[in-house]
Amino acid sequence: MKRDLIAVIWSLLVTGAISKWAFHVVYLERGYEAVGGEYLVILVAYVAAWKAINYLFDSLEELESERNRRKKRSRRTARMRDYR
Amino acid sequence: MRNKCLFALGVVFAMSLTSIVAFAFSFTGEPEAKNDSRQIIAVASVAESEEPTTEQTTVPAESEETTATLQPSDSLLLGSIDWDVEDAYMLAKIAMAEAESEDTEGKALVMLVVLNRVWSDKFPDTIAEVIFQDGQFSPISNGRYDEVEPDADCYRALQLIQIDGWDESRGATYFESKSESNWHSEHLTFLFQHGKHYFYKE
Repeated sequence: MKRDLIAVIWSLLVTGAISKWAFHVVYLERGYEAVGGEYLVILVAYVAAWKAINYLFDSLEELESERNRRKKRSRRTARMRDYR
Repeated sequence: MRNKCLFALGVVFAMSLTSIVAFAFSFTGEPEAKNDSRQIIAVASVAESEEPTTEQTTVPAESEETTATLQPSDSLLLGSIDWDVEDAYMLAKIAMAEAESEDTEGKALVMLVVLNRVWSDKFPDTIAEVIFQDGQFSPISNGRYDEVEPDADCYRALQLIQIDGWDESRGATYFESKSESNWHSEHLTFLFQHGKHYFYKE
């Protein structure tokens, strides 16, 4: 839940900033504001940002579970050593 | 695993940095020229028309004094191309309201009167202010301005001014239809007649 909230907020911030820039660039070119291809940027930027932040979260979780596995394994090895 | 994590962190960091820079750049720069999307409509409507306006070289016989030809003039209009779509629409609308029965040049001349006023120091500085100035244009006070919608000929007239740089208004800032009143002829300098309109300047 917390992870999703952070991902959504971050994605929206990135999308907002990039979209604002895209609209501005198109306005500079055209001289007026109108609906155009720059609206695709909203979608693309949001998907890219969402994928990137989730990729980071996934890899962090994998790293964490890897660590836990190692800890568990080392504890079990120690117990077996003691048993012997 | 650690490498994957570092890579992901790098990607997220790069995206954050990019978006901050993009956001900062979105406040810089000005458009080189404000284009007018209404102009595009005008061009389209002219393209659809069968008789191109640039081939007309004379004005109707009834207007003896008008020397309205459609050759581009050497143009006072260079500075005026920066009106926006709203202004272009208002120009087309006032031309429709004032000169619906006139030909393309007649409509263009009405627009040029508005523009001459905008460029004059004695009148307001925007197209909207000039058009809506109290007591200046009768279609505003009688409500006709709100009722009409510009037709293709209005946009052709707009194109004539905006793209071809046509200006045969001779700096006219007033015009009138035939009427009982002779305020215009007594207080202003008569320039020419075009169709039913008499054009004057101060």
